[in-house]
Amino acid sequence: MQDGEGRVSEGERGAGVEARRPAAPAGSRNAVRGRASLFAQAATILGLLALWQAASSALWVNAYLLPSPLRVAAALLDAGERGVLGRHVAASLLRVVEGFGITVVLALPLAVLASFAPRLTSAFNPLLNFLRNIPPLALIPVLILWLGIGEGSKLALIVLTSFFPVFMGAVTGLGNVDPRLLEMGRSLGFSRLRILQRIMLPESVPSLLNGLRLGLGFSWRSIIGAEMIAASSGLGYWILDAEEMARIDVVFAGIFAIGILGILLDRAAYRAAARLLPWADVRAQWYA
Amino acid sequence: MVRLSRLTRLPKTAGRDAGGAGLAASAGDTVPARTRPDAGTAARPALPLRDGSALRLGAVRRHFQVEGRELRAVDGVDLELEASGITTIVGPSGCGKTTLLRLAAGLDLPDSGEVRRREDSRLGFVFQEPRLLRSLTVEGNILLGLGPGRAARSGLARVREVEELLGLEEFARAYPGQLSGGLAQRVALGRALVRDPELLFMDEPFSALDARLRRRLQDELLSILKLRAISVVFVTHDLGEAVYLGDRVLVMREGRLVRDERVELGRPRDLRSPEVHALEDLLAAALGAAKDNEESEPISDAAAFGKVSHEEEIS
Repeated sequence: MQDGEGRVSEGERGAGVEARRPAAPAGSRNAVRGRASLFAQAATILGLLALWQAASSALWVNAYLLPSPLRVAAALLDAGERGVLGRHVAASLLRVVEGFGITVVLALPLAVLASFAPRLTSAFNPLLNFLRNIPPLALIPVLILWLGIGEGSKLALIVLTSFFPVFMGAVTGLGNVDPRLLEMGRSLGFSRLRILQRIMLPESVPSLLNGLRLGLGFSWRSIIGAEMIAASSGLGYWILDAEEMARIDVVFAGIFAIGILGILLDRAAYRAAARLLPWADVRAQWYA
Repeated sequence: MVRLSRLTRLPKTAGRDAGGAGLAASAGDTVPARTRPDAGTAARPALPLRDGSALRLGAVRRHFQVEGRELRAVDGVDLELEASGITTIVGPSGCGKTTLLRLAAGLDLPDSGEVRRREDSRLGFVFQEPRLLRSLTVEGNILLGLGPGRAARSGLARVREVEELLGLEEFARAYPGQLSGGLAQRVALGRALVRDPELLFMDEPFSALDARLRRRLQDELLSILKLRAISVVFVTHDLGEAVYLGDRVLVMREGRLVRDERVELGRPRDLRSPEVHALEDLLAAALGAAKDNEESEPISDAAAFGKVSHEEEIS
């Protein structure tokens, strides 16, 4: 006999222990619901593509303003075969990975510092708020002036874009750790460092994760922007180049490549988080 | 007259206040009064700790400022505890019992007075809520109690022992999010017991559980303690629980210990027996509340306070 939350009642388990049953296994109601929603999502996408193709075939839309999905797919395939697509994707991804890595290495220690020195942090608050409100793309001219049109300015742009979500996520997480848990740590005789390691950092992971996810998404979008201004590789550059060649189908191919890769990046981050944090309800957080 | 609302809020405020005050107060052997001009402890000779004593409090005071008013959470408490046995402290919410427990455990510092424990004595604390880390399994949470000093392998053996003791073996790999309230509180007890404590502080650890489960955990606690020399300080607002568990029952009211009773009754105790009723009447009189005849029924805080405030009005 179970109550609504799936806990086994005390009386029934002779051992005198009760536990909530683990999440329902595959094949249960949840899995069926998941498959149904996947089907609905696929149907929606295919339906829109079909509508688009019909509009193009019937010449309801100007083929120069909106190329047919088949032409876009052909452009993607062609670029893929010639290795152009792979080269641009690799260039953009590499920049994001590098820039985002720098962000994480910078933001996490600073967040720890900030949570341990609140007065120092509050002195920096106006400056941080000022910087946070400047769209990173507005800084591109300055970055190019200071760092040139090479990789430096692009990495700087990614760091500027992704720093604040990651930093704020970590600061929020560290600051919102239940003080009762800190007291529990003190009752075990923990030092400040040990409380940070064993209690504050793990407890702040869900909030940190949120910041990392936002930061990653922002990085991806900003790097495309940067590549449209000064670059000789990357998906942003590819789109701009195609525009100059009046290849609207390639422009759309680039747009699709960016969107699909963005989804894949997010999925990869989700998989990594769910694997690393079996205790955190990553799924609920991700799709909230 | 002290107003009700302020008083009832007291222990929570106290906890938050000290919780945010910093992490400096670790469990040492002697806890000096905080250095304040009015503390006046400089001239006081160190409080001696007799053989066979686990803890001694001398003239301990702790006041809080809440909305400009001074609240005397602990107002001059003297107490000496033996090295084994269960001492229950019973009182209505707001009487300062949680603050007293935190002072005794070194989680807070007194404004004046002294708290003495044996040098390097091992302490355990079980809170009202389990306070488990959601990122660790049951086993990891219990292991946390051992601290960094112990070798991992011998530590794990200790953890297994405790798991067995508390019937937690089959949940060793579960996360706190998967546990019911009773199980989670068992894990919290395990985290304290794995330290092999000489002093175990318990702050209403079973008050969130239903009556049947509460009685079961009380009995388990008694059977665990029977085999060990642990001095337990158990805080509760439930007179029945205080009498059921205590070898000694202290009644606390408005920051002071107003009654100190040794309980010479055998175990298991029958809460319906005339001896228990007589004792409860005695303690209830000290609490300033009419004893509720319902077995194990918690003293209504409001009723207790109504009586207290009323008396004060008269005086």
